[in-house]
Amino acid sequence: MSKEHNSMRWLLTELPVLREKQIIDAPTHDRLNDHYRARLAAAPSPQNLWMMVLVGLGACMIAGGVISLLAYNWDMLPKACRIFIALLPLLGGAACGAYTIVNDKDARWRECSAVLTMAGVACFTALISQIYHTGGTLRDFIMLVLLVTLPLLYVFRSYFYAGLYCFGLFFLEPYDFDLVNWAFLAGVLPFLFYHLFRDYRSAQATFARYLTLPLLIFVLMSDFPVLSGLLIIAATVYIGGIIYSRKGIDFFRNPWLFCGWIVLTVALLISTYTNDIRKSLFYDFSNCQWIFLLPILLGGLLPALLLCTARRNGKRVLDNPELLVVAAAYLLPYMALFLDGSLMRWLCNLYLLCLGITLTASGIRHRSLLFFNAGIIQIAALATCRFFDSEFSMLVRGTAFIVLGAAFIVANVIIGRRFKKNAGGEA
Amino acid sequence: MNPVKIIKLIVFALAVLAGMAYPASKIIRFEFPGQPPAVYRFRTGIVDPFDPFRGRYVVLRPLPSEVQIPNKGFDPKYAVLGLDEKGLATVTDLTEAPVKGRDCVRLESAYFQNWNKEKPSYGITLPFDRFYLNEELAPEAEKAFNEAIRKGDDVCVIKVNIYQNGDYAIEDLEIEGMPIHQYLKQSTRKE
Repeated sequence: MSKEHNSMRWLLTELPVLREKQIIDAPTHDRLNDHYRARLAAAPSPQNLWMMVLVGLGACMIAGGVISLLAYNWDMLPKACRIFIALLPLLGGAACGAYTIVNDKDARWRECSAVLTMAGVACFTALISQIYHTGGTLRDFIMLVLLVTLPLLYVFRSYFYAGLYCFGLFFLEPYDFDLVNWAFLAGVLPFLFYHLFRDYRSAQATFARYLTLPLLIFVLMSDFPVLSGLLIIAATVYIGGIIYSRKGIDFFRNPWLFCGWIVLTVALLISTYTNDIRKSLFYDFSNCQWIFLLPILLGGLLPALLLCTARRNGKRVLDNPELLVVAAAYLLPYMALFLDGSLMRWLCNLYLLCLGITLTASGIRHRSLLFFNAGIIQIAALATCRFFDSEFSMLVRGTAFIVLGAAFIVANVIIGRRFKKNAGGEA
Repeated sequence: MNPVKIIKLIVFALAVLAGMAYPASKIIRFEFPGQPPAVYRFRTGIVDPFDPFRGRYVVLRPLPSEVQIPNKGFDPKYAVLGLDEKGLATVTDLTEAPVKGRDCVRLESAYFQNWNKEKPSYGITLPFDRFYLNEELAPEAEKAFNEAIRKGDDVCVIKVNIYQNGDYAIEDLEIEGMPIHQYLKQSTRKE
């Protein structure tokens, strides 16, 4: 973010020089100038982002402090006075929010307003329950607070509120997943999709990418067919991660790449291990609610969708074969419905091997050590698992591990040098 | 002011009002009921835990937790209240809906126990399970209760307002006939 911001500022200072030296003409200068000034205005500076994070954290701490202070139970005061005190945080949040909207204040004010108003609602509800000593479960309380404060997410476009909302979702007893939980999950999705697709390079899109991960865990905690779901969700996240990576999003701003890769690899390794685990992996679809089958059914169309998109864009599908190979993970749960246990196990072995080889090849093709190593690790992990299955002596196992490790290091060194040499040649 | 700002303000105001609505309706129901609530005193036991949003409280174990009546053939939702010879609350019947003209309270749970054929009974859980106290008093209350309970099981009672619609609000926790705050003050003076 900081690098991109600084690059744009640098380019803007360079434009008059380029025009003076007649490298670019006046209309080009103006167009570039307008374009980058607009992008610079849209992207908050790193300092502003930090400020926003600090203000948001501060607001959360103040909110927590106010809740604790009032939860002390000032039972020495008369009831009417305690009710009025309970209402004060909400009135404060409302005043702050109204001021922010009327004066069109920046992101720092928006974060503060959303978090303080949410805390105000939580405080008022909790304290009335305290004053009258009524019961009620934590689930009901969180549900009420999330429901009535959800508009704050869209009014203030608050990222801290979005984080708190997603945290709150985990109190809705995800193990007892029903349509109410789906409705609460759906509440935050437009916000996430908007940021994911608006400008994928922005800090907001990075935040949205990170926030989708706990939401996916929330869905997986339901009676979703867990391991089949894990394969499908991991494949989807991984495909997203690869696409973002190809668009130049770096590792730390693209959590989907690593999370998708690791979860897919582990799920596949488990499925290649024994027939029993295979059974639990592809367990009966008929047990789950129809709504959980929807993503699985739609997911089956993803390979076809990827093929069509690649053709429409005039790209050869073989430019990104790893996308298609990863998308093939969607087909595994379907195949498990028809294939015999041991056959399915070997199919998963073969699939993981193909995935590893494709990623390694893709790493070489795109000169990416990250992809190269990801593929090599998948192949090595598969080989290690099969190695423990078999009845080799310790001597053979030890030698094989040393050879594998050495091959891994040598391959990295050779490929690393080759990439450097090619980069030097191009320069 | 531009229309987007006006819409944002309206949505925000609605959200704030929605946030106030539930607690406000609770205040109105408890403070201005259609008919004044009936006051019952339930025997209870207590322990002292913590709630992150509402602070320190004592968990109440209100009695009775068992009612000797034959199987009703339905899932009881309400307990019809009465008084025993000591003037403390007791449950006289279990029903599916509130009974007009009788004081009822919505049950947390009720299940039929058929292990004793001669004395069939229902296991019930009354809904009042928390009494909030500040963090200094809650452990003292638990200690005071543990000492007082040796004198008999009627010494610790909760005073509950029962409303016509089955709602309730706990008014006070009493030990040996004294409100908890007064009792704790007195026992501190004695020490």
